[in-house]
Amino acid sequence: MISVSLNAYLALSVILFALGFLGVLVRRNTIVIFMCLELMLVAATIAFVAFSCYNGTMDGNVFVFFILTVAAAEVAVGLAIIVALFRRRQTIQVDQLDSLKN
Amino acid sequence: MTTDLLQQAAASNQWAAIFPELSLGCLALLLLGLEMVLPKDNQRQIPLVALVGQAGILVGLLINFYTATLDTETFNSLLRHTHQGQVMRVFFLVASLLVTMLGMISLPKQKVPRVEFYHIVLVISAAMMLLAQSNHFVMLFVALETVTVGFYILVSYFRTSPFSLEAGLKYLVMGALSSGLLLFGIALLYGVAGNPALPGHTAEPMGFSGLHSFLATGANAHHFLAASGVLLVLAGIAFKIGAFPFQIWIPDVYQGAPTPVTAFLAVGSKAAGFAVLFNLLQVFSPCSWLLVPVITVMAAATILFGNFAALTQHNVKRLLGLSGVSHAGFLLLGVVASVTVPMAVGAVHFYLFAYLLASFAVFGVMAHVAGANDADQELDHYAGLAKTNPFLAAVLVIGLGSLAGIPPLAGFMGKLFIFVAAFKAGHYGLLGVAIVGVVVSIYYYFGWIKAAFFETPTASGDECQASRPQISVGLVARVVLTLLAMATVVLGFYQGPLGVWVALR
Amino acid sequence: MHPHPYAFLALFLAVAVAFPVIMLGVARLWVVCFQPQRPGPMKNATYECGLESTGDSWIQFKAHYYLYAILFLIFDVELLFLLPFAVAFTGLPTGALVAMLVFVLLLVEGLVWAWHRGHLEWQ
Repeated sequence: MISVSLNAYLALSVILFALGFLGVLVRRNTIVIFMCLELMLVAATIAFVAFSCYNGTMDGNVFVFFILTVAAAEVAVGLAIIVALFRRRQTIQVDQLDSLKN
Repeated sequence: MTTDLLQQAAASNQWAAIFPELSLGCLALLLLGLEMVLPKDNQRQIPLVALVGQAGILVGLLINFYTATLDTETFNSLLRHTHQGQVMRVFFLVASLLVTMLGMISLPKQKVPRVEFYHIVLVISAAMMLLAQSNHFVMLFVALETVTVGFYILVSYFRTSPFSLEAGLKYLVMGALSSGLLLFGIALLYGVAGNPALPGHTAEPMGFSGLHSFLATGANAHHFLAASGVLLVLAGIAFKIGAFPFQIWIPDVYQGAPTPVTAFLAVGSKAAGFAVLFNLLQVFSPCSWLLVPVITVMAAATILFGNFAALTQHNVKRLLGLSGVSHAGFLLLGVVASVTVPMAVGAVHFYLFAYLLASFAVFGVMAHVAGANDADQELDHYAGLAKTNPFLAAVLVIGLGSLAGIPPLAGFMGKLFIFVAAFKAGHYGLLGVAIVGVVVSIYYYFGWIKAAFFETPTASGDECQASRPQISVGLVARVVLTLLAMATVVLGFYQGPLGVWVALR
Repeated sequence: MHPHPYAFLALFLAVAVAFPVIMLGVARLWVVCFQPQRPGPMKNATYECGLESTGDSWIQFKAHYYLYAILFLIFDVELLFLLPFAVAFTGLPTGALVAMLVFVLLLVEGLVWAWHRGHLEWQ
């Protein structure tokens, strides 16, 4: 069996993180922005688990629980805001949500 | 893990050390319970219960300030109790008391459920207090995320107002983005500090002491992954503070959020960011070759951006938001000076207290003057305030003067201490930028004072001005606003015990 | 000479891609050569079990689906914490049981509050 080096996992994690980051900045649909935010958290999770395996400590694996909890809480609150906003404004494209200005 | 290891770890669980946070949590649950049990007519008592409970916890914290656990690490070194941590706990409790009071003024103007607001404010304050004492990245992340997610809910609390919901969405996207950055930074630091191939690697890579000893060994502070991790963590914290590249969310979110929540964000969230920043700077001190230039540039950019952007604002909440960004810049000046000059830490804490008093005075006035549309508070709404309500106008002037840094108010002393510290540390360029910032800030603060004192309200045009009834200020609000204004004036003359108390290490 | 460990995977991938591509390709070829398409209004109408379709195809979204989904998510994450606790249960001191009980009771209070507020009613 070929063993995968730590760098491969880190490269995967960095690529996913960069994709998520770019997605948040570029995409207009709010739900897709949320998916990209979750993608960033998952990329960090992969980094944690990879480091935990290669360093031999369990801290990284335990931290994943907390990341998942935070992600769940964020999703719950975020989707509540989106649903309320959709019922009020009938749109979820961020370039049409621009009522806050000087 | 064997049972004796667990017993050893559990022996350091000093629940008495976090008694204030536990009582805040119980108080929050009590509020929900009371809402379920009490009949509809008595539900107006519930905010009073929150207020009295928090005052009791504050008194208890002050009495037990010098506890036995000071200068120790508890909960298996998850928490570290220092004097500065205790000072910040008192700060957050005072801030949350004042936010509860602001909520009692602002929330009745809207048709929203009331009790959840106070519940979430209490939970956020407990999390902020834990954040100030955290000594481990897991504790830091969980507490920071509790604060952040709580604020997502609070910012979008007026759920029938599109402004509030939009502000909530913007805060959510930016906040989650910065949490992702922070998390990736923590991952990199964890990975590099636990790597068996590097010298100085520790068994507890996410604990602050282990990480500090790792960074202090050899050339680890110059390791690429460690430096990137440090920068990413700094980026995550800079969002809470509102420092330069991460301050885009501030005007929109401050405008859309309910007024008490804006106050809590401006004071509490910012101070929480600074408390964490101080803790992290101690941990990352071997990386100061990287951090000092970066924070210097951030401070300069923040001061300039905050002040110049606030010049063009008409909406009062956006103005306070951008001026808050400039205050964050001044505080960052103090932070960068604290790397070489220890007295700067006390200066920053004193400035935070002066900022707390002045901000809540101004927000108290705003909560009274605001109409049914909470996001639409313009400078014109304050025209003629000196004639219609001289008490509110006087409090407003004292608050704004202190924020602008006019002697002999507390804000002036705060700025003076920070500037002296920066001078001692040798950051002359940054000091010049800061002085330019102060001069610019006087212009927009005085624009507001001019509107309140020297302008008369126009009869035609602004309909909500004409239809607004006389603003009545309740007794509790009157007492609290008077206390805030008096404290601001007194602290400007005589810092005495407060100054010594916040400056002790 | 040992075959590469991933050789079967590569073969599987190739077959999985080729199979539908060939089938769809043959079908397309048939259409182009023997059976050109002539779409019309009757042929393109929506099929609804032989009935005439009336009205909009968009349905009103019931907000309650979302509420239940969120409550499920929260209690699912609570379960996520209960699982390692259950695995390590026999080696833990009593204090851990108390801590876990407090955690579960906190979430139960949340459930009771949502129940009292009427969020669990299906309207």
